[in-house]
Amino acid sequence: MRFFSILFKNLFRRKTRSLLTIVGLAVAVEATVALVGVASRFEQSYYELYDRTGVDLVVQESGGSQMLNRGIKEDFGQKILELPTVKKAVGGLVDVIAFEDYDLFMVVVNGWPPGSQLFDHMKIVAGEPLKPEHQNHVLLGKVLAANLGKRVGDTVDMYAEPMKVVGICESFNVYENGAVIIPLATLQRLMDRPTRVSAFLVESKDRTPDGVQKLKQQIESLATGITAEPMKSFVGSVSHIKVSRAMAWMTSGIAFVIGAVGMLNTMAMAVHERIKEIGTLRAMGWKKARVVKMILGESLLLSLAGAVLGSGAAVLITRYFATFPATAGFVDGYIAPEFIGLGFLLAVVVGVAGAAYPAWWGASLSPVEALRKK
Amino acid sequence: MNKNQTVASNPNSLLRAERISRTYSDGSVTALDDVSLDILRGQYVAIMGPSGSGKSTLLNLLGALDRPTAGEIYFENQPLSSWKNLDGFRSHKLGFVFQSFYLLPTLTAVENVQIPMFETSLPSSERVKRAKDLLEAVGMSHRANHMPLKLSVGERQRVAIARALANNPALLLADEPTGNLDSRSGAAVLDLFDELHQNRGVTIVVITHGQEVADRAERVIWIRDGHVLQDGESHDPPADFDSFRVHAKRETRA
Repeated sequence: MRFFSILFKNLFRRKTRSLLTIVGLAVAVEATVALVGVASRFEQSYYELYDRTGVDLVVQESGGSQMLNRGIKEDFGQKILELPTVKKAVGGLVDVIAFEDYDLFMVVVNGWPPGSQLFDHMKIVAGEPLKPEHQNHVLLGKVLAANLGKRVGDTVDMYAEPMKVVGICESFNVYENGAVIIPLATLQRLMDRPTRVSAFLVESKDRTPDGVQKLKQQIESLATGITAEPMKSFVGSVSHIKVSRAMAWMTSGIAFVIGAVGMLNTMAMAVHERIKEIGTLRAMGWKKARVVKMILGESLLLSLAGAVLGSGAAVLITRYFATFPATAGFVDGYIAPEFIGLGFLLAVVVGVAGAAYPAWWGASLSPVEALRKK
Repeated sequence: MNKNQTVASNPNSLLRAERISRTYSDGSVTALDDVSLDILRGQYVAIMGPSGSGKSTLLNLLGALDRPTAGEIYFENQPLSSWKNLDGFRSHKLGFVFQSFYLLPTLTAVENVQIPMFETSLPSSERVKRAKDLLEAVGMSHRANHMPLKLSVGERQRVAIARALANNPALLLADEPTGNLDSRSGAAVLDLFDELHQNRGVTIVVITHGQEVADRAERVIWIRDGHVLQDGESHDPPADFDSFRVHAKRETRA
């Protein structure tokens, strides 16, 4: 018989309690892995959207979000293009709408100039791309088209106007697959922002950090009230990314506190119930360290079981939400391995923290005290 | 044995208590008062006394489960207070048999016997072999893979005895080993103690109420109110112990 056998047998002895503790911890792990993983994936997807399309700087009006401020004048783009180290600068307008009849909310509407470089990475899987002569015409991202049940030639009602679907597109990015693309001029009209864009996406010829920093300063010197944000810090500052990150950590933190309290309760009860056994072990000559090792070992096994169950549940739930219409536009079902690792690490920390005091208390009693307890 | 009398060091001494006392509740309760005795190697000793006489306290101190408030206990003429780790002393030098057996309920008989061996360097395969040999010695090899709940009380006590012998202890300490057993099972356990003592030379100290248990020992120590009243080969109680004998009989009948 090995030492580990004793741990397993002790846990199996109280199957219901062990299972409830595992489930409680699994919920905490699942909440953390799913929420923090998905929030991170939001941020990562947003980052990839700009990174893989070669964006180094996002130029927008200072002090507000893209959707809330008035926007920048469209002709400012020409001034940016005249700078010697600018490779590409394209302006676009962005808005968010809901398709309430389909229970879809927070659907991104991108107003892009037809034929611009913004379309370079998009693949048309049905129909045709947007053309300069198109006005009330839209491209639907693949996921959105499926959620709306729309095909090429159908119409969608947006801003109380019918829009004809000319094509369905596919991107590497989950946001774009769940979005609508409309000609810039049309969106400017619908949003009553004539000649305005939300931001310019700028690619620098010199993509080194110094090169990008220099270009940032040059662009900001072209006009007042303008910021040219490096792409990484722009992504990190997007308000809904920040909110989702904060909510994810807060919810996970609460879930883990509850999990830790559950673990502490389980281990404290286990030690109290087995105090005579612990006294017997000490009488047999088991050192305090071995008793502590036994109790911590049991707690660790519970934690690992909770971590496995919780991580598995997080992966399955996230994949399910990637197919769910209301969330498929934001969630791509992928959780980075480091977040599963984070779930395991937190589970182990909770396991050790929850068992530390009961283990110390149980091992510290003298054998005769322990044997006398009822 | 008189109060305040110490015991001279004996080369054959296994466990010697010198003027040990144990008090509780900041000295307001005295469980043992100035007790001295010497257990020699190979002896079979019974400690008798009524409830509350201090005999369990004495066993706990002799077994290093507790520390005396005053006095010193010597093992092979070395003071226990010089042992850095009494856990190691208990695991390698002592074996305990309790009235309530205290077998671990989630482990089989053979697994229970291995418990003390975890503090030795025996590999797992050796532990199993040794445990099986010990169960055979106590007549329990046919029940090695049974859980304690499936064993009779007599069988559980025999497994507990095998466990107590796991690390070849110099001294076996038994606290009312037949207290929870019927007379037949109790007699079987006492026969086992006789066999261990006579054929294996195990030194045994037994705490008991029962005269039939004390009659098996070669030396009886009578204790009352924390004092040793008599210590010798006689199995008769001290002269002023009549009230005790009536009390003890009432208890054993219960």
